[in-house]
Amino acid sequence: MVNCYIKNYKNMKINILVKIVVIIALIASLLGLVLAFLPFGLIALIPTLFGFAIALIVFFIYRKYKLPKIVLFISSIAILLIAGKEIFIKDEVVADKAFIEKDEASKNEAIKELNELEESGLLDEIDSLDVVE
Amino acid sequence: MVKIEIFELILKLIIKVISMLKIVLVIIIFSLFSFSAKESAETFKPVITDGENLTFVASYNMSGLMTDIAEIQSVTSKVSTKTKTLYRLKCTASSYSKWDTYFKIRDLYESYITIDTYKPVISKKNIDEGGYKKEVSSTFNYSNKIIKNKVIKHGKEDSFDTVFQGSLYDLVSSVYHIRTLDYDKFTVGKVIAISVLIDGKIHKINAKYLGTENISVGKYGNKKCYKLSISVNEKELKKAAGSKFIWLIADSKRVPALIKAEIPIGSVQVRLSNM
Repeated sequence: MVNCYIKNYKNMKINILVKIVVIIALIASLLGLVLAFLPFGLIALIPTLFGFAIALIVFFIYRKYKLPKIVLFISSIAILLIAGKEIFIKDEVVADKAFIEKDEASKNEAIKELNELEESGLLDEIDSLDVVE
Repeated sequence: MVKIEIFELILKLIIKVISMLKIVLVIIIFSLFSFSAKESAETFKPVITDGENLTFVASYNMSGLMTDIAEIQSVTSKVSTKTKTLYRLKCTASSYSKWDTYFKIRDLYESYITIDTYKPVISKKNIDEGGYKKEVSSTFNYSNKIIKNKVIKHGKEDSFDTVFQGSLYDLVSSVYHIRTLDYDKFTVGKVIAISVLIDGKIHKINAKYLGTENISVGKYGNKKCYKLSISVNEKELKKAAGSKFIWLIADSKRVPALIKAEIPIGSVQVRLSNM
């Protein structure tokens, strides 16, 4: 009777521990999935692979639990998404018309200011300075 | 609730990385364009060439896994007034389209320098980082050693003067100075102090020469580089190695090949992708 009680107690402890570990794996996988949707690239693999590895270990040791299968499924989706984005989506800067205009306007404004400095003789004074002070 | 917390954490991380990118951009501009030369004997022949176009990729690195965030371009061209010609050193930073939805960066840094003396005449900064906009324009007057600054932030305009002594460079033109130094004549551990104007304020930046290293420069293969440690204060300088490094290719152009800056979680790095 006592032995049975001890055995049940040990099983209960293992169950709780396994559940905690799998929940951690689930959180890691969900984080990986969120990061996979965001433009984090390969960094999203860190939580995803962590969750995947834990879920895989638990799955092989304790096959009675269903949660590791769900974690493996979520991690697999995240891994596929990360790999797909890395392979098929190329990093590029969008041609920004407003930024090009800002660049041109800034240049024209500077040239105008340089002309004013030239008229006031300040540019000649700079030329007369030594190269190295 | 948990999802919201996770999203907040991610946003905080993005903001941290972007703020580090600003520091890296400062370093890259610093190492691409100006520094004050006190040691004429150690000054290398000029490396500024009209039409130079360098492209860099800024990335966030965590445990060896990288994600590219922005592209940085450095372009050198000539501009002419009625009788004179000056160099226009332009440095732009643009976030990749995948980041634009979350945090769009469109930064423009310019420096107009004299061809013979590399002295900045006009320095301009126009940044747009995730909606945060700021414009700074500084005009150098060498006869009375006064810089006239104009700052536009949140639509409010502010003007003030900065008095300077000795050699002073703006952020962009300071990079060229570092490229003009003759590192072959330097001993390991030598510190070069530079006065740099940032947002109308003068900052002392130290570059410590750490010797040569062979590093991989993307499609250009392995290159011998001069390694420098950059520090912005005395505390960082006293550290054995520091946490911000620049590798300059050891040839006549001294192009920055790699810039690394460590942050509490991971590191930010800028690598040369095209020259």
